[in-house]
Amino acid sequence: MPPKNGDIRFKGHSILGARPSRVTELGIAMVPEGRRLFRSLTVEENLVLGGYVKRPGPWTLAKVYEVFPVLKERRHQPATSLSGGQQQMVAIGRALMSNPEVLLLDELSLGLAPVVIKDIYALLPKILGEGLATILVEQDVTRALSVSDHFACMLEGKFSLKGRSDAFSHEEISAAYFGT
Amino acid sequence: MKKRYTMNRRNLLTGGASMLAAPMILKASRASAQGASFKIGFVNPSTGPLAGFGEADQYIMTAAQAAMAGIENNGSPVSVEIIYKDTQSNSNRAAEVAVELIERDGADLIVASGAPDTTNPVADQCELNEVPCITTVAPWQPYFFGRNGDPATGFEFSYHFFWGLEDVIANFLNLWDDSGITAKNVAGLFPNDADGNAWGDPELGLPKPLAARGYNMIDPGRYQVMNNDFTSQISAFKDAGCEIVTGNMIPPDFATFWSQAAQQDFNPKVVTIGKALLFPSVIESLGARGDGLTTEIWWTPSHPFASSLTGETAGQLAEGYTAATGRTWTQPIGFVHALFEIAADVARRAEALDDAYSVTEALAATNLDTIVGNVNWGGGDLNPVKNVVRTPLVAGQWQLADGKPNLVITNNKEAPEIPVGGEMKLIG
Amino acid sequence: MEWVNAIVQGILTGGLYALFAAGLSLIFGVMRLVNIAHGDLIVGAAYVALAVISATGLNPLASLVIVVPVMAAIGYGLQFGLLNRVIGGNILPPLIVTFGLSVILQNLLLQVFSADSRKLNAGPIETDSLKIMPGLDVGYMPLLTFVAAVLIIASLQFLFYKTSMGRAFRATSDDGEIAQIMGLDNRRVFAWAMALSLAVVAVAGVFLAIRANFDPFMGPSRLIFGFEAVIIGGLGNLWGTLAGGVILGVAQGLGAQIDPGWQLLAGHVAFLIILAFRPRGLFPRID
Repeated sequence: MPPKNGDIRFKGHSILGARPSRVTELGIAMVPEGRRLFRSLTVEENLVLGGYVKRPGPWTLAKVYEVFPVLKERRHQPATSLSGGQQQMVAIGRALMSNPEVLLLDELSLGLAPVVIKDIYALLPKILGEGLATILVEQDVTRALSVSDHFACMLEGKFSLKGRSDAFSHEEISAAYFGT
Repeated sequence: MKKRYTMNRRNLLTGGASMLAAPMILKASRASAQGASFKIGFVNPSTGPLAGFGEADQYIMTAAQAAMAGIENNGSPVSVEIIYKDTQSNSNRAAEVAVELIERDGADLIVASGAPDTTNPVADQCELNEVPCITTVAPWQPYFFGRNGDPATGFEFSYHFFWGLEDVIANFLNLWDDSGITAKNVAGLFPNDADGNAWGDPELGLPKPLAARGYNMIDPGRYQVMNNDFTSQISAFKDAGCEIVTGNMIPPDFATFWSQAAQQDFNPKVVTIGKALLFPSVIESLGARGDGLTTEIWWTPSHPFASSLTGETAGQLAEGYTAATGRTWTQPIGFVHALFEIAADVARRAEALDDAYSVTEALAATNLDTIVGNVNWGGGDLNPVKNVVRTPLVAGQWQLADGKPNLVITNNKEAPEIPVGGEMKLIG
Repeated sequence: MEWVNAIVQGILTGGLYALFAAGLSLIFGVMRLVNIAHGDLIVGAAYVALAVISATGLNPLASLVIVVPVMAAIGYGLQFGLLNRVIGGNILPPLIVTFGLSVILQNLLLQVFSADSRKLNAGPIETDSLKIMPGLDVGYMPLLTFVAAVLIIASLQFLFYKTSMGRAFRATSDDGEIAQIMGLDNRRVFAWAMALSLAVVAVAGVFLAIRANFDPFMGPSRLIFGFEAVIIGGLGNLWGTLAGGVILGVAQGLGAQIDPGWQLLAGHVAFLIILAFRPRGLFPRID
C-alpha cells in the first residue's frame, strides 16, 4: 500500500519505496505473518537464503541450530513438512540469518497451538538477549506484554494507548485495544 | 459497405442514361487532356511462410514499371502505375488488400501470384467487385475448383495461367520411365493439406494415372504438415520394396523424411517430389543429399521464350535478377514477369482503360507469347476450362556441380519446344 | 518389429520435444511466464548458428560453443530490458508482449536472412545409424538429440537443487515477495532464468536445424508439442517434461503405425486423456 504522505526513516536513510532488499541490507528483518517459508526449499536452504544479505553479526547457521536444535535434526526436510511451531522457528531463524538490527515479528502466534505458542515465547528472550531491537505485532496481548519493554495499542490506524509494558493494568490495555 | 459500393460502381458504369452523362464527360476530358492512366494492383506474399514465392517481386515489379513507360493505348500515351500489396502469406489479408486496391486505390486491373492462398482470395474479391484479375503460380485445379468454379460457365473477371495436376503426373511418369527402374511400387508422401489431398486423391490425383502406366502407389495415408517422424511411412515403403518416392511436401517435412530414410536404411533410387524441391536454396541446404532429387520444372533460364514487354530472353531475365540482387534465379520469376507482360498487353489493347468490362474483354482476348510461353484463353487445347491456360511443364533433376545445385531439364516429352539439358542419374 | 521400431523412434522423437520444451518449462517454473515466442527463439538460435557457421566454418555441433553463450546473453538482456517490465501480477501483459515478440522476431529474421528455407549440415552423422537388428536402425542424430535432452534436463535439475542459483530460482518461484525481502533481486533472478532458458533454446535450435529445414516462420508450429510435453509432465517438473515429450513421441509413433493421419491426433489424444485424469499433469511441482 503506497503511503499518501510522510516518510519512513531508518538510521538516517529514507526507506520509503526502497527495494525490499535494500531495507534488509540496512538491517531490518522480518518474520512475516503466516511464516511464508519457501515450499520447495529445505529447512537449511531457507535459513541459508535468509543470510543472502551478508551482514556481519553473531547469527550463523550454527548459532540458529544452537537456539533451535530441532531444526538441525530436520535440516534436510522440506521446510513446509515441519509442524507449525517448527516452521515458525525456521521463519525466525531465517530472519536472524541476516543479522538485523531491528527484527519485525508479525503475528507470531497466528495459527499455532497454545502449547507451541508457549514454547516459541519461551525462546524469545534468548534471541532478544543478543541486543536486538524487536517490534512484535501480536493479538495475544498477555504474551506480548510479557516479553516486551514497551507497547503501543492501535485502533483503526491510530495509537490508542502506548507506554511501558509494565505501567498499565490489563483492563486499561484491553479497553484501549477494543476501543471501549 | 462492400455490397453498396459494388452497386454504385455498377450504376455508374451501366446505369440509366441520366447517370451516365456526367461521368462520360469527365472521362473524355481527362483522357484527352493528359492521356489515360492505368492502375495495376499487384498482390503477392513477400513476408510469411510463402515469402519464397515473392522474393523477386520488387525487382520484377520495378523493371516492369520502367518497361511500361512508353505504352500507348488508342494512339495516346498511358501512364501506368503499379500499386503493391503484401499478403503476409495470409489468405484473409490477401482478400483485404485486394479490396483495398479496388476501393481505395481504384485499381483497373489486379495481378496476383503465389500459391492458392494468394490467388484464390484475390480472384474471388475481383470477381465480386467486378474488377479484371490475372493470377498465376498455383496449379489450376486448386485455383479453379478451390473457388467452386463451374467448368460450364467459368468466371467472368478472373483469369489464370499455370500448369495443372495432369501435367505434373505426366512429367513424373516420364521421369520414372527414363530411370529404368523395374520395381513398380511407388512410395507416396502426401500431407493433409489442399495440395496433398489433391495429389493423393485416388480418383483425381496420382494413383489412377500411375496404375494406367503400370505403377502401383503405396500410400500409407495423409500425414500432418510439420511432421517430426516418418518412421511408419518408411517401414511401409521398405516392406513394399519401393525404389521410387513421390509426393507433395514442404521443405522441412522432406528434410525430416530424407534424413530418417537414410538413418533407417531406406535408399530409394528416384525421389520426385513436388513443391519442396522448388527453390535452389532448399537443395543447397540439403548438402550432398540434395544431389539427384527430381522435380517438375515450370520455368528455367534455358526456356526458349522471351518477354513481350522488354524483349529479354528467359536467360537474360534471370541474369538481370542475379546481377541486381546477388541471388540465384527462382522459377516464379518468369511467371511474375509474365503477369506484367499480360497487364501491359491489355493496357495497349483495351478500348476504354477505365471501363472494367472493356479491360476484361481485352484480357479474355489475350494471345501473347510471354516469357513462360503462349498465353491464350481463346478455347484451345491448353484451356481445360474457361479462364485457365496451361503453361508448358517439363521435368528434371537437381545435379550438384562443385557443391552448387543446378536444375537440369532431363525430360521434355510434354513440351518438346523446351530443350533438354542433360541426362537423369539414379541416386546413390 | 515394426511396432518396436515405431516405439523406439517415438521415444527418440520425444527427446526432440523435450529439448523444445525444457526451456519453456524452466521459465514457467521460475516466473510463471508462458513464453509464446519460445518457438521463434529456437528458430532464432538456428539462424545465429547459421551465421556463426558461415563465418567460422565450424561444424553445427561445435558452433554450440558460441551459440549457447550468445543466446544466453540475449536471454539475459531480453528479460532485463523487456520482460521484467511486464511480469508479475496480471498474466495477460506478458502473454501479449511475448506474442508481439514472436511476430517481431519472425519479420526481423525475414529481413536479415530472407525467406529461404535453410538447414545446417552436420555431415555423415546426419544419415548414419546404429544397426541394432534387422528392422531396427537408430540414427545417430536422433540418439544424440535424445541424449542431449537427458543431459540438459539432468544438469538443469542439478542446478536447481544443488546450487545457490537454483535455490534463488526456487525461492523466487515459491514466494517472490519474501525472496526479495531476503535480498534476492528478482529482476536478476528472472534474467538468469531466461539466460538459462535461451541456452537450452540454443541447443534445441541447432538440433532442429540439423534435423530439418527451417525458415523465419516455422517457430510457432514447432511450439505446440513443447507446450504439450510441459503440461503432460506437470508444470515445473523438468523430468516430467522429458516424460511428457516421450509420451507424446511414442503416442504419435504408434498412431502413425496405424495410419499416418492419426499420428498427430494420437499425440493430442494422449495429451487430452492425461489432462482428463491428471488435470495438473503427471508429476506437477507447482500449482
